[in-house]
Amino acid sequence: MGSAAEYDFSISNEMLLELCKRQDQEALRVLFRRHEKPVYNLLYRMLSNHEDAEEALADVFVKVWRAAGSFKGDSKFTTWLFKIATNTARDFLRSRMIRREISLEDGSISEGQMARSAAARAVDPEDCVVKDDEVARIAAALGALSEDDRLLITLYHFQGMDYQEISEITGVPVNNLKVKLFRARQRLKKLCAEPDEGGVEDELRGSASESSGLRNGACEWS
Amino acid sequence: MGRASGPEARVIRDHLKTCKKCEALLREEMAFAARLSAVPMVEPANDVWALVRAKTKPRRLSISAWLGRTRSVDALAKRLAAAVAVIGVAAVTLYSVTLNQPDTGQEPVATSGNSVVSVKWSDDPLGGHREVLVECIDKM
Repeated sequence: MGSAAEYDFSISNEMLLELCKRQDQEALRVLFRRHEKPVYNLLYRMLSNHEDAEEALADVFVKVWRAAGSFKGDSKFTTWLFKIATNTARDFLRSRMIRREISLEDGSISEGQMARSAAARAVDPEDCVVKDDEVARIAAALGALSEDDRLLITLYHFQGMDYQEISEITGVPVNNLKVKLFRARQRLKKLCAEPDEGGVEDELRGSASESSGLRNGACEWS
Repeated sequence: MGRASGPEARVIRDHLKTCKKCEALLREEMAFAARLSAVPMVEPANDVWALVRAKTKPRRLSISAWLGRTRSVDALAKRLAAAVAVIGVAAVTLYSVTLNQPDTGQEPVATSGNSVVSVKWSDDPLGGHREVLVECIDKM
C-alpha cells in the first residue's frame, strides 16, 4: 500500500477498513466520502431532522473506526455499515423519546407543544420548500410513519437495497420482510393520499402496534 | 417491486392474466413505487468529516495500549513470555560479560573529584537488585 495520500476510489471498502484497524485516518476519510450521502439519507429519513442526522452521521463513522476490528467479512461492508447506521438512528430516536418523557414529567413542556414539535420534525421546512409538492407530501407522510416502517421504506425504495440485504440489516426473515414492506407501503400510500383526515391516526396506530409486536417477537431488529 | 424468478414468476404472470383485482393492485403498487423514486436524496449541509476526524485522532501507542490491543489471553501470555525471555537473555548476557572481565587481582579504583571511591567486584552482577528485577518481572 502506498502513502495515505494515494488512497483512491479503486481501493475496496474492506481494504480501507483493514487500514482503519491500523489507525489510518486517511482510509476512514475515503470511506466517509464514499458512503456519507447514502448513510446521511437514511439517517435523515429516520430522524427527520438535519441537525440530528449530521450528528448521527459523525457517530456512525466514529463507530466504524472503533469497530473496524470486529468486521468479520460475513456480510457486505455496506450491509455492516447500514446496520451500524440503523442502530445509531434507533439510539437517537430512543434518546429523543427519553428526553421527551423527562420533559413531560418535569412539566417543562406540555403535550400540545410536544405534538407540535413532532409534527414540525416530521415535515422539515426544507422539504416543504421543495418545488414538487408531491415530494413534500411523501416526505411528510414518511415522517409520520413508525420508525420500523420508515426504515423498510427507506432501505428498499430510497437506498435501493434488495430483500436479502435488508433482511441482514434488520434481522427480519425475507418472507416476513416482503409482507412488512407491503404493509408499510400501504400505510404510506394512505398517509400520502389523505394527510389531513382522521384515518391517518388509525394508520399510525396500526403501524405502531405492528412494530411493537415485532420487537416483542423472535425477530427483534438488531 | 420484488422480482420473482423462474416457476414462481410464471405462476404469478398466469394469475395476473386472470385476476383483475391483483393486476390492479400490482399496477397501483408500481405507480406508487415510481412516485417514491421521485423523492430526491438529501445531503448534509455541513462538512461532517471535520467532526469525525476530531473524534478519531489516532492514539499514540503506549505499553498499556499495546497490551490492551492483545485481545485473547493466549496472545497476551505469549507477549508477556516474550518480554520475560528478552529480559532474561539480557541478564544472562550481562552476567557472562561480567565474568569474562580480566581479573587483575586488584580491586578497581574509581576516582570521583577529589574523593577516592573504592568499588568492590562481586559475583552478583545485579548488585543486590535481583529481588527488585524479579518483582518487576512478576508484575508485568
